[in-house]
Amino acid sequence: MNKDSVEILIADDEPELRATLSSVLRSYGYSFVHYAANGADALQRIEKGAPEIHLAFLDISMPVMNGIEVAKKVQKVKPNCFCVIVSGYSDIENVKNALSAGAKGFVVKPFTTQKIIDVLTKFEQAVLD
Amino acid sequence: MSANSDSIVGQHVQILLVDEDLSARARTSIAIAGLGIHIDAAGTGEQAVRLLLDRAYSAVVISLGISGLDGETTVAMMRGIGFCGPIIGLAEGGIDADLARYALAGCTECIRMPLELHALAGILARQLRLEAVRTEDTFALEDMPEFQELRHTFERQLPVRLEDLQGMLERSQWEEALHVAHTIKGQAGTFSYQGISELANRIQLALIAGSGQDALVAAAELLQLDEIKNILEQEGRI
Repeated sequence: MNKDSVEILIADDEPELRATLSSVLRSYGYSFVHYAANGADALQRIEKGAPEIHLAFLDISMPVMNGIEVAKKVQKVKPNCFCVIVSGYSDIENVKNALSAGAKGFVVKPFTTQKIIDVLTKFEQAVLD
Repeated sequence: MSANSDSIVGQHVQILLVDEDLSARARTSIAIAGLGIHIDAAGTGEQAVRLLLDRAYSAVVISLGISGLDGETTVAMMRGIGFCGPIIGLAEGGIDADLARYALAGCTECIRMPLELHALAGILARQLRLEAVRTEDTFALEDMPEFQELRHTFERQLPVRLEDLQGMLERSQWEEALHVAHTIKGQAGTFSYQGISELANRIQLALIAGSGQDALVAAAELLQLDEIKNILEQEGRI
């Protein structure tokens, strides 16, 4: 797999956050970015697999279903999907819960591009050719 | 310290030093401060992970003998959240099997204690050179045209949202106010309005704690911020 074929989902109820993150991802060569405004929609899109989501940024406090719950369910149905939790707080319990749920990254808002690049580097090392 | 190390590490390099022993922390800080880098110190694993989430570091130096959240778990958690920079582990009398475990947890390199400070400085200088190459293409969010557009949209909408928030708080519409405060906190932080973000966070925390009065006090302080006044002026509201 290379960057051109990576499908990314950004799940956040804040449109500005989705747009900012999307711009960063596109700047680093990721063109296929999809959006969800709540956890249930995010899970449905990942489960449906059309397209197959390879990398998902999941806000921790979304309506309907939070990001950690989504990550936990994703691990069962699509274990290869690389989930990153995005949170407004650097709370250690949230980090533990996210990692236990199978998340492969944890980013605190407001984020810098470096934090996103770190997560992308980890994703690329794990998944890309 | 060699002049070579100084020139390579250079400016604006920040590292995180994790050690619960204050005197050891001071000794290590002095040794690596000679490289011309800035150091933040953490005394526990939890504190270190929180700092790593909140701030940008080029490298971590961690004593693996810390108690509480132990060194190995802390390193694994740092890698778990996505930190890709070098992590230098300081291993208290570590045998080879321990060092292998630390490497598996995510340490880039380990140094056996007692610590030879010049050895640490040398390893750090080498790792920071590699890290500088890895991150050389990084740009700031502020440099992106799309980011500037989004920032302007936020500034344009903020006066109305503040009025909404104030009205909700006065009418005791706590849940709605919590949502608006949460949104303002996140967006203000993203767009580098730290003061607005922090006060919106205070409103949010007060509402979560069930204290509408504290939320109202924080909202009043929010309206007095220079950041807010500048935006209102810019938007022709004052």
